[in-house]
Parts: sequence; C-alpha cells; structure tokens
Amino acid sequence: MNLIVNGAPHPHSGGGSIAELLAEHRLAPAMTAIMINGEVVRRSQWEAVRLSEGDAVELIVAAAGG
Amino acid sequence: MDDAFRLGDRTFRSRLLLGTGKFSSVEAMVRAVRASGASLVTVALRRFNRERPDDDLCAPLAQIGGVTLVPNTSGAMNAREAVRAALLGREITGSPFVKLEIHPNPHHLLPDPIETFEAAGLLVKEGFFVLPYMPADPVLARRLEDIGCAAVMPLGSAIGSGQGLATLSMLQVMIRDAGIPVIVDAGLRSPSEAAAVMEMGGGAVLVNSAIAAAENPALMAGAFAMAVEAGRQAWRAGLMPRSETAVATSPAGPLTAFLAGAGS
Repeated sequence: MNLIVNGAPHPHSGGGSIAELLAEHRLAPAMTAIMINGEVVRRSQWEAVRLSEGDAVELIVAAAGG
Repeated sequence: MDDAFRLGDRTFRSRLLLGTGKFSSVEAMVRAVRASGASLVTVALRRFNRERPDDDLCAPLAQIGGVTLVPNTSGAMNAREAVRAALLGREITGSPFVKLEIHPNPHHLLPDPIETFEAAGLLVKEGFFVLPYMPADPVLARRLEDIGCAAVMPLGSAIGSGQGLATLSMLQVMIRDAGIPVIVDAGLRSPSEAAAVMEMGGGAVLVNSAIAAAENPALMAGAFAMAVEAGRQAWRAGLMPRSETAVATSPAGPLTAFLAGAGS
C-alpha cells in the first residue's frame, strides 16, 4: 500500500503493522515515536494499529537540542 | 542525598542541566555530558532521516548512565503543537519531564507566555513534570507554579546570545518568591554567571551554547560544573552582609600604636 512517511511517498510492502513499517526503515522501536494522520500513537497501542492506504505517518526520533 | 536537587518526584545530584545542541559531533557532545556530570540532559525531536539513520541521540546518551532525558518542544509555534511534541518526546524517551518551549519568532526566540501557560496546564493534566521556558516574569512564574509546573525556566538573556544575566533583577524576584525551583536557562556565557545564579539561590542552570560553542567543550563543561557547585555551596553557606563602608579585618587604633614608635 502507499503511505506518506515523513512527508514523502512510501510504498509499504507489509501488512500495515507498525513493527513492519519500522523494520522497513531499520528503526529501533524503543527510540521512535509515531504519529498517524496527526495523532500521536502511544506505544501500548502499536500492536493494535493497522495502517491504511494513504495514511500519513510521521516517524520521530530524538535530535540534538537545548 | 545531601542537598539533592528535587524536581518533580525525583532527586538529582547535579544542578547543571545540559543541552545537546550545536556540538560539532555526537562524540564531542557525549564527552561534554560526561565532563559536566549533568543528571538531566535535554534533547529535541525531528523526523527520522533515512539518509542519516545513525545520528540518533538516545543510544549514545543511554550509554553514559545516570542521565535522565528531558525532551523539549522546540519547533512548536503554539500550545497545540507543544502538547503534540511533548507526547512524542515522552514516547521516545520514556521521561516524565518536558522542557516546554514555544518561541515562534526566530529573530529573538522569546517565549510566547500565553501559549506557554495554556500548554503547561494541559501537560500537567497529562501527568508531565513540566519545565516551562519563560520570560523572566515573576507574575507568570507564580501562575505557572499555581497550575502545577515542576519548575520554571526563565531566560538569562536571548537563546544562544551569550549575553549573560540581562534579566538579573527579575530573576532575583522570581527566586525570592518561588516555591518551585527556578532554573535559569538561555543566554549564559561564562561559568561565573552560572555561579552567580546559584549564589542567589537559583535551583539550577541549563547550559548549552556556552559549552557546545566553547573551543574545548568538555573542559568548559567541567568549568560550569565546578561553578554551579561553588555557587550552590556559597548560597548554602550564606553570604556575608554588604556594608556601605570599609570594615577592618585587622586590629587598628591603639592596638597598633606601637607602629608609630615608643611612647606615642
């Protein structure tokens, strides 16, 4: 399915789970936060979430900052 | 823990908080964090970058040990965005602390007091220990304390400016009146300024640019650590009263008449 990930088109080949999406990006789940269509998805809800065609996903990590 | 720094429901050893921005490399940042002895270290958030997958900060910071991360809400233009950033920061770091910062104008980076106050209330209700970056305004500080913020973080001067304690007299009022720690954040340039904050009873200082932009960041981090420690000890010891005139420290008058010669 086609997703928008961090503002860019992303063809997702899995079944739409967050774990699959993170694996596609080689992202460590423990250090990532996720928003789907503008809503923050808490870690405890990740397993229950299934992404849908056209979903806008933001993958957020920690960065240097004061 | 003797004279521990209490913040939220935690206690920390160090009263020097460190920002992680502007360092030349992650390695330089990690060296500075170690040298600073900081217990609380701020991080920002950004989109994951596929081209630079390895410059994530959490892993190297986690290796230091004894460091509690404080995600900030930098980039937020209003309360709604700041709440969203805080929720994301909590997901990434697992930390109950958030440095709430809303400074929509890139020219001066001054905090928006109205949006900050609104966001602080929402985040306190969400269970965060809220550390709002704010103008050095004692009235706003009181209001932020009343709604449950864990500390207030007034600016010494503009972010990254190195102009030091431009707000000194207002900081003194805030420290005198506050029932929560006053953490002076932003604008500090030299360790003596950090010591001055601590000498007047400041709870802590947050330093980033002054260390990151020093010629030797790790050495400067150590200098700030000593200054914060010295200032804190001086405050605990109690400074002597100030006098308008000189007050001699050695014997004077008849006691030293012998200096004028015999018999006088």
